[in-house]
Amino acid sequence: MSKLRRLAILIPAHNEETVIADTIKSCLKVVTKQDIYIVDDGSTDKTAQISKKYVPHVLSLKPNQGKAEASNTAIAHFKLATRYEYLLPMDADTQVSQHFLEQTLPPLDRDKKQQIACVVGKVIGLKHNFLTTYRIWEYEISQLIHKNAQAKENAIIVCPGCATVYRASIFQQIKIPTGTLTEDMDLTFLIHRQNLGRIVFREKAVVITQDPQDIRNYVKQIDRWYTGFWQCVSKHNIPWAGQPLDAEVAMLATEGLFNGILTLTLIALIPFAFLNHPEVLAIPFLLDLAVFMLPTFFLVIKRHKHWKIFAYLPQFYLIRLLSCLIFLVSFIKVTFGLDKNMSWRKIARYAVTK
Amino acid sequence: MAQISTPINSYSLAVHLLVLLVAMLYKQTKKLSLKLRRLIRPAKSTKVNPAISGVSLLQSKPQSELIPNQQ
Repeated sequence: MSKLRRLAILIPAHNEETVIADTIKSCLKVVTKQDIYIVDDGSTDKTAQISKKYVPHVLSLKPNQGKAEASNTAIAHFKLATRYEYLLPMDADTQVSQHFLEQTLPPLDRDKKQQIACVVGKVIGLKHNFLTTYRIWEYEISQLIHKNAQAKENAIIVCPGCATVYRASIFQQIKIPTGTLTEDMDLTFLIHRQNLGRIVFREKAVVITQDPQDIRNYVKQIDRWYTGFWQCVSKHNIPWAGQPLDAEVAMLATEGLFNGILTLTLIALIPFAFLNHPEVLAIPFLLDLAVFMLPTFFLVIKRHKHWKIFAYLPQFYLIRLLSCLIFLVSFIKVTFGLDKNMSWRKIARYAVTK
Repeated sequence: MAQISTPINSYSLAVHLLVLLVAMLYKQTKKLSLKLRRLIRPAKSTKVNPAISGVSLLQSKPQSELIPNQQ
């Protein structure tokens, strides 16, 4: 048997000229340029030209195929599933930390029986304004608490498209699924459904990603995530397959729906509360502040030294309510088939300021 | 990264904190029981039986290092 190369990084990119150079440079700190593969998915800007300056393997596709299909084409074209031990798909707007592989590869190396399908790292955002701070806060809660617990239950619901090292051989058995707006969640559900192996979470393996900096892009992004979530729920027949994933997703989905309805109720109660009974809104607000917001704020301050988070408290409440409503709307869209013409809504990129 | 954040964390946060707590308690109990077992069982004697050690030494040597039988 010929010796396999260790790890390939695959970067699908569509009009990413602003960020692609930084992403490749960060990858060059952890692998050689021979192991970086760029698939230029029908870009109309200089993504391919910039990529070719740094790495030899650049595949240009015309017309645009979509992220999942472009990745599948590149995996087949460069024979990544058979030539490599591990595969790290990477988003074009994400930078990998220098110690990412030191944290993610040892569990896979130790796993001689090949019971682990992939190792998931942690995603962190950059500080810019209240929206990116909100995302940092959200990432901390979702990864430190939710994802750590999901890992213990063997029910991680999403392997981030930019922070997961896969055993390359699993791509001999499956392709990155298409047909939903969240191909990484779709792939994660497929790994569970096909019993391809355990998913391990390593909190110390960090990638840095770009988050939306304005409300319009934020709404676009979470609308895609939530719609994709409901599409995956429907596609993978959740919660009827009896796996831990079913229980986990059912819990999050019902909670999200409950929150959406609760938000509508709170909005409806505003006039009544202001006129007669302010305690109707004041008591839940104070409870939430004391039990949830303040403890989690201190958590973020401890880990990110980001004291400014307190100044953003009012905005945080507004974003939370907005997110709840979008979750509810996305459920209605998918349930009633209003999501059929939805395309992958790309958010605005920005050059990273050093 | 697609993720389902729970903007108003209600029961999922409580459930997940409970899962983490149980996992931590399980780990600690396992550690403690290992320690207790070591305390209860006295350590085995470190005295070496020369006969046994001789045999095991001979067995562990590679074939090339063994002295051939005198004819």
